[in-house]
Amino acid sequence: MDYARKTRVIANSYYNMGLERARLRDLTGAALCLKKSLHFNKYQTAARNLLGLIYYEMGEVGDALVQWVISMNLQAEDNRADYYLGELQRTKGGLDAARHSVRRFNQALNYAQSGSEDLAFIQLTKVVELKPNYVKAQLLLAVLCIAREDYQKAGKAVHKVLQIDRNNPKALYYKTLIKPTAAVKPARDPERRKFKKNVLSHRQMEDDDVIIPPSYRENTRDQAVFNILAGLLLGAAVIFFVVMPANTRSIYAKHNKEMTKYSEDLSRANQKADELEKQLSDLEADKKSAEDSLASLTGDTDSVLAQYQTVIGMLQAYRNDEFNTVVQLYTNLNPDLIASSDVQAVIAGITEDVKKDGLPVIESMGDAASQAGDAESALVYYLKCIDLKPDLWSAKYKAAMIYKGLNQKDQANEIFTDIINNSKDEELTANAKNERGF
Amino acid sequence: MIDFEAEIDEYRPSLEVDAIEDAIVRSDLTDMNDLMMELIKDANKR
Repeated sequence: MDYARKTRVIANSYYNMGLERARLRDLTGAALCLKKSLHFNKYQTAARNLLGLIYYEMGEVGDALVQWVISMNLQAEDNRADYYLGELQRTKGGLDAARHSVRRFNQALNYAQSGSEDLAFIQLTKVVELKPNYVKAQLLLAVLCIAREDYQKAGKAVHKVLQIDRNNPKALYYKTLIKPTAAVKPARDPERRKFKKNVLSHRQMEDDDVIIPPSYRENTRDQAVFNILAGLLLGAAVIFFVVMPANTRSIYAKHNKEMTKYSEDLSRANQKADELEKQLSDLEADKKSAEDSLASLTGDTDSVLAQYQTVIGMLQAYRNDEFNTVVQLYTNLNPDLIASSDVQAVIAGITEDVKKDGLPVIESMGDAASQAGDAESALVYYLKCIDLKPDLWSAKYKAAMIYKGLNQKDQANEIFTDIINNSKDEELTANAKNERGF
Repeated sequence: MIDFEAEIDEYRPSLEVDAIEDAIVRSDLTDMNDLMMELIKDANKR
């Protein structure tokens, strides 16, 4: 047997040994056998492919790729490594995930070796969550947990490693460190077992995770009904004692506010009504004043307009040469109501004419009225005569007689006395004395 | 008890996926056949 054949036989033997150990999930031992096989025969493609597969299974994707690529270089045809590389590339995001996991582990290792155990712990937790078969990450996490005396978590990591690589020396060593600690705690205690179970199943919380407390119990139907009724009663109580008073206060406050607003509006309306009433009364007063002014101008015979008409009538009578008509109209004239100086001048001229020639006419008009029984009209005419000529004693005597007849003795006696003292007419004086009672 | 510092120092970084080309280049693929051939060549030279 030549050397070449002997080396091939040895290589094949190591490969068989490695394959056997790999089937028993002794990956570390299998990897050692396969490396030895390749030391004897680098063309042992099956051994190299299996070594890559073991690396891949342990999470060492980079090492696996190295072995498979070398395998393809050494045997390009009919090589299982071609399938492995193709699968890895075909898996969507598989290579990227592996790349990130490895990078994160290296960073965690760097943190741990530089003394930042907490940062390393966080990174490793993420790595093993994404890639639970990453043996080296699980082992490093176990070391950190042991250092933190978190033996439950360390035990979980070690357990996971031993599931992947049954005879991993480090995992077995860490297991020996964890076991005595675990033995102190009685496993029969149900609460502790539950706690341990919870701890071992611990993982990083997701956004939509719900924490269910250990004391949580599913409700029975009666309990559910009771809880609903209790909830309804509690809700009603809250509404009655909390919501209703608040609502009532709110309604009262709103009502008071509205009332205040209405009162203010009413007050303003009353003020406006008072102002309007005052304006109305002022306007009515103005109207009455205007009506009075209009009446004084146009109404009765004493009105201004009537006075002007009288003047016009007198001038017309002058034109017709009817002096008696002039005198009759003059008796109705009140010159004080005429403001025009020109008209006053005309009236003055008429007055002179009446004084000169019209007094007998006026006196006769008084006599006619007296004979007709109209004593008041007669008195007006007589007083007009006295006004125009104070020493017209006959008119005075007749006026005094009318006053006496009207039972106005003071006025009558005053005129009688004037006649007695001042008149030269003896007959009138004697009659006056007689009427006066002397 | 575990020596944390020593234990941590034993760990080596994993081979990053982006660095496999360098790793392949640096791989020593010498096997027993190659060594034997070298030895035979040296013996023949002597």
